[in-house]
Amino acid sequence: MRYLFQFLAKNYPFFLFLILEVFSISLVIRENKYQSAVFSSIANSFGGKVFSSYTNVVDYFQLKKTNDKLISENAILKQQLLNYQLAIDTGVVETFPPIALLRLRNHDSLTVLYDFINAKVISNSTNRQKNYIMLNKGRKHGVKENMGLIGPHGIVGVIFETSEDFSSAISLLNIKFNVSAKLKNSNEIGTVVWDGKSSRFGRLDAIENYVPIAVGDTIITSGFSYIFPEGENIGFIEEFSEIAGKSSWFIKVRFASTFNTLDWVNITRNINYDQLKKLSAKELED
Amino acid sequence: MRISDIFRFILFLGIQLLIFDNIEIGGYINPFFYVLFIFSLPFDIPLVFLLLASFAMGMSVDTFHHTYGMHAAASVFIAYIRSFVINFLLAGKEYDKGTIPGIENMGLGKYVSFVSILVLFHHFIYFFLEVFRFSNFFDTFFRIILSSIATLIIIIIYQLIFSKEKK
Repeated sequence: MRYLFQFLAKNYPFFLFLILEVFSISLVIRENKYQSAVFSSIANSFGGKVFSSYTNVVDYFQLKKTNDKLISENAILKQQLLNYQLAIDTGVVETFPPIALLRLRNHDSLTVLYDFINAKVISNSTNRQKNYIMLNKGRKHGVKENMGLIGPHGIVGVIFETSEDFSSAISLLNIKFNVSAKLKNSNEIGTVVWDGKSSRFGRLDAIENYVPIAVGDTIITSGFSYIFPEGENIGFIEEFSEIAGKSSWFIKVRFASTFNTLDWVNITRNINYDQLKKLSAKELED
Repeated sequence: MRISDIFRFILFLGIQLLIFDNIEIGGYINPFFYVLFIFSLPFDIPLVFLLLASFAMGMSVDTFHHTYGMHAAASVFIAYIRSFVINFLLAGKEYDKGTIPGIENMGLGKYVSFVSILVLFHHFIYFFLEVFRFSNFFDTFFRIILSSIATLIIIIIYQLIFSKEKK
């Protein structure tokens, strides 16, 4: 026993090294579970404060650019409103109660209501295998886990963690991320994933190769996850080819969003999320 | 642990998070400037402190990057092999108490080899923990080489600008 202690005392830096390594690597393996338990809230609120004061400074220098972006987004929205008004006037769509901020989708089948919380990106990465986006809105503003994130051109991620004032989202550029998608033309359902290579391209899986597709086809959200409204842009088909021995296409997707320049985003809140999730869990059990 | 070491800890962490995490070169390159902190602890620091300080640095970066444990594992590893590399390169040369490894006391050639060996080990561990698989080996390998070169260049430039003249 004494020799054991002597041995330990003599080599204690080596044992410290081993302990630290084992601890770090076990963290890597348990990753998400552990992080949400211990570190997340501290890291989220402290990191949030650091990053938000940093963005405050950077923002000042980008005022003009932001302004231009907002103007062009405004113009698009006005156009959409006009089209919508036109549709109502001509009786194509029945009128809805004018609830501010509410948007109705799928009105002819399942009524899913979404509203939007607008948030600013305070930290964002695109050069790692698991990228995250940090936002300046948190629980205080009604942000919860499993809400979607939509940028000016298309979806960008899903909230996975919130603190009082800030929230973190898994970016579409994360090898663990996948989203239920469909082709706009044929309504064919697939899954969009990221392969960890370029921040501009991803992959659309599970489209059978009897489905006719073409370069440039739009890929939109299916709405089946209840996270995103149906019909939000995800990306466009960049190229496709047959996979030898498989009955599905290999489809390379060019993302609609440009992740490097992400600035303002909308957090989508499905008003019936809990209800819908409970129902679909029930289906599984039966 | 001296005040200047703690100051350097905060400075390098800040530079990493606010500057180098926002730099993007082709999506493949992600320089990890903060490892310079581990290289800049004094020659005669006890190994225990070296390990703990490197662990703290790695863990801090992990906390901000949402990469729990990856930077810590890589940092602790290079902290552990640091003294072997120094002994190998300098063969038991004696330095004054508290001397910090740098170009001015190791010479440019020795310093570059010192940094590049450790940076390569660090990036190798980090990137393989990140993808956690050996498929796409060459893809990951390519990332390691490019990022190591970027980190090395940044560290050398920093050292050339800020290192003190020989007294």
